Amino acid sequence: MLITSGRELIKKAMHLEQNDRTPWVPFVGVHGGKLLGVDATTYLKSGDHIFNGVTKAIEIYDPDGIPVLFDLQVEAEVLGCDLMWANDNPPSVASHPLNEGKKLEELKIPTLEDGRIGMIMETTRRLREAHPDTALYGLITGPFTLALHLLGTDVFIKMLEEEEYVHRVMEFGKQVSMFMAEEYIKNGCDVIALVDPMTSQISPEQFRQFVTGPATEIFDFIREKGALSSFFVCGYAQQNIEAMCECRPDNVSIDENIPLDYVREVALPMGVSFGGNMKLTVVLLMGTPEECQVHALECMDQAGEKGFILAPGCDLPMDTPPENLKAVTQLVHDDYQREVIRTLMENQPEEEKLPDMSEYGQTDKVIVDIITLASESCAPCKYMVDAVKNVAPEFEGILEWREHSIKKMEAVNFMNALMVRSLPTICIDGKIAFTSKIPPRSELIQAIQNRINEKLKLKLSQKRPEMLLFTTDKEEEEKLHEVVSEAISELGADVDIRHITDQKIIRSYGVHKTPAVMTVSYKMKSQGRLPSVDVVREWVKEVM
Amino acid sequence: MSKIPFYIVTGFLGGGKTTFLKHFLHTFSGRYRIGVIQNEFAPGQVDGAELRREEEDFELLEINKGSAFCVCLLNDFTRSLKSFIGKYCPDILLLEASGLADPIAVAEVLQGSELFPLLYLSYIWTIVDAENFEKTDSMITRVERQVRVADKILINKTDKHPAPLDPVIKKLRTWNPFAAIEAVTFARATLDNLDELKEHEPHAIKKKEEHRRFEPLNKPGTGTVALKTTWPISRQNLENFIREMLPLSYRIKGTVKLDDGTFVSVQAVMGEVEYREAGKLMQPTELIAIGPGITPKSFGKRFHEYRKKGG
Repeated sequence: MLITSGRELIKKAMHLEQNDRTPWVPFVGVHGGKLLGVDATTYLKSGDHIFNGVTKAIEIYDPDGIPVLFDLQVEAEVLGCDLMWANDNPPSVASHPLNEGKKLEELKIPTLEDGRIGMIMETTRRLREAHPDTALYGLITGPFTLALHLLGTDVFIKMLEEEEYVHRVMEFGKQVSMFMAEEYIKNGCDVIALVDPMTSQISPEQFRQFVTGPATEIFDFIREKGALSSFFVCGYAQQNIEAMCECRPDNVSIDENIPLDYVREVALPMGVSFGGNMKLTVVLLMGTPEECQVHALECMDQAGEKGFILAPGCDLPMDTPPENLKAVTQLVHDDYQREVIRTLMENQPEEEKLPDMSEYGQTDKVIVDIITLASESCAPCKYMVDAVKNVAPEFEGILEWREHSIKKMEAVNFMNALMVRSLPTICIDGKIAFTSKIPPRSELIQAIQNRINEKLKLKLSQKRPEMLLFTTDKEEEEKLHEVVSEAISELGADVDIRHITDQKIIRSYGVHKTPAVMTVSYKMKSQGRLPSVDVVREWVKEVM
Repeated sequence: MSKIPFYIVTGFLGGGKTTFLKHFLHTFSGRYRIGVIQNEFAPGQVDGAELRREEEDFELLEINKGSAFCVCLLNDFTRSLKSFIGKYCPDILLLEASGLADPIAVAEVLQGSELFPLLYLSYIWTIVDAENFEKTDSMITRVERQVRVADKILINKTDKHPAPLDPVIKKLRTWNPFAAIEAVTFARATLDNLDELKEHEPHAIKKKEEHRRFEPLNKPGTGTVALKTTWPISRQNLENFIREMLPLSYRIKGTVKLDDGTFVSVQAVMGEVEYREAGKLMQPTELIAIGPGITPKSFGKRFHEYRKKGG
């Protein structure tokens, strides 16, 4: 089979071509610093750190595309905005030169010598060489966001009062964007993302009045230079999606505030691919890996396959747990995992029906439960079941195994009661023993044997033996007592003797002739609680 | 441990948020330990310094300067707020959200596992500038969103707006049919003893006379959750969901996207639910619920379970 590189997948998605699977682009910005253990400021100022952080992210998240850098203050810094640096965020803009006496005419288009630009482009080139199969995204500040950096929130008033001036600021921003785009493309970026989050703050009319012109020129320029383009926005920008697509980017990328199906319906007919919109805070930062997988699948379902790129809504929070992103990668790459999550989404456990498993595994036999999607239709499940099937004969009579396919509701409840989180899983006597990985025969045998040994020990210490002596007259009773006592004391065993002399009771034990002897061993199965029927059923089988 | 009520004041740039803040401090400082949170996207960026010059007694936390317009940049907020609370033990917290901030994004951050046990979102004031209301029509996107989430809308600077307020109020009502509306000058809203808040949380807040201090909350379980989703729900399923959540909540409010593409505004207070059609909107479903039995996970989980039900 021909393996398509991530870079190819991104290209195909952006060209609205049929793809093998949904491409995934984690927007690793300062999160790269987290992966290296350095703070955001140190990270963003060092080409080596950025190179190592992105490289590390490529290693552990196996993305199809990744940004070189996610910092929308690079251009502003060069143009004279003061930056306020932070330990766990990109810096923010703390002063607005055009609002503080600087003239627009005095601002110069940046060069490679200015600020961090040279370092960033050099890093891009190194990343390109090191990761030929991953699509590299070069993120540039959109002209409207740059205008806000330069002017402060006065830009909103000026849009009403000094339109011409705002147009000129936007024109300047366009030239800055083109310079940055060209440098990123020269150094190997596949996709130029024009990131203009502040456009979420304006109406479609204002968007078309001020943003459409410069943005369209930027996207045409990127196309001319042979690269792909994306228009990034975040926040409440739903009203502007159509206007964004009119600017002819290859892709638009949005955050959780806009429904993916809405974007699909607007963008695809206009020939624009789209991406997003995983929730950054509630899911990726604060959620569990399972929640991230469920959410990623929901995004993929809402978006459909054509022209869709799965991505977070915006720059990943620095402290996003790597496990969460790895879980998304696993979901994207693994059909089986998607099928598992989809089945579990459809079959939610019924809390009121969760069986009480506290006494599970107290039977004489060892119970092996295999929780699967369905072994008849999925390969990993089948291997897991076969592994157990193959060792079962070794434990004939003392092992019982069964498969629980989560396509059935009771299996979902059972799985939840055993706290199983991923599939397929082997549980031995109700305890999770092997998850996802098919155990080698010897390991499985060892695990079962360990459990048998454990049970044997437990059994020896738990059993309470008793001997019942059935007699009908005094003489018979004394003689029998003597024989039995002798045997017990010879063995030094701790066995109780009980005499039963009432004829009615004797008959109730099925004894027809005396003297008769019966041995009994008692075993505590549960106390202080009402056991569930499932559990008692196993105990009954044991004594049948 | 009792939870700290968290208030948000939001509104137009230059609408009077900082003036409101001063009024708030003037009314309550000395009675409560007040923690004020500001982000510095405010124009001129003098707010923090200006506030510090006030005589009032309060502690100030300045967050993430300039970046709170974006959900993604709120993550250090948790950490700084937590340490701020640990250091000053405020009775109440007031966030002056920048004109570009998204209160729902803030509410979502408050429901994270670290902050949820410490505080709950109690009340949102949105300040509308009477003088500039019509002029700012073109910035409606932002204004509308802030109005939608308000518990109380303050129409400020009415002295500079001699015309009748009816058209302004009418417009505000189409965005938020439920919020209280108060016309004021110099952002002097009615704040006496936070009576208006008591109405909503009858058992939650009461004043301890002897210490002239808040007794912030004696219901440690009280929590606020914010649900944001782009998935629609049927009217019937929404009503069933709200009915199930009612006994657990003091208040549920928000705007919900229905499966026919239209929106409905919901307000439930102490067992009474009201629905108002809100037409077609360009936004996701946003619900805020406050109550003793509310947890972020259960609220969201149940919403989605109802959403997926047939019919």
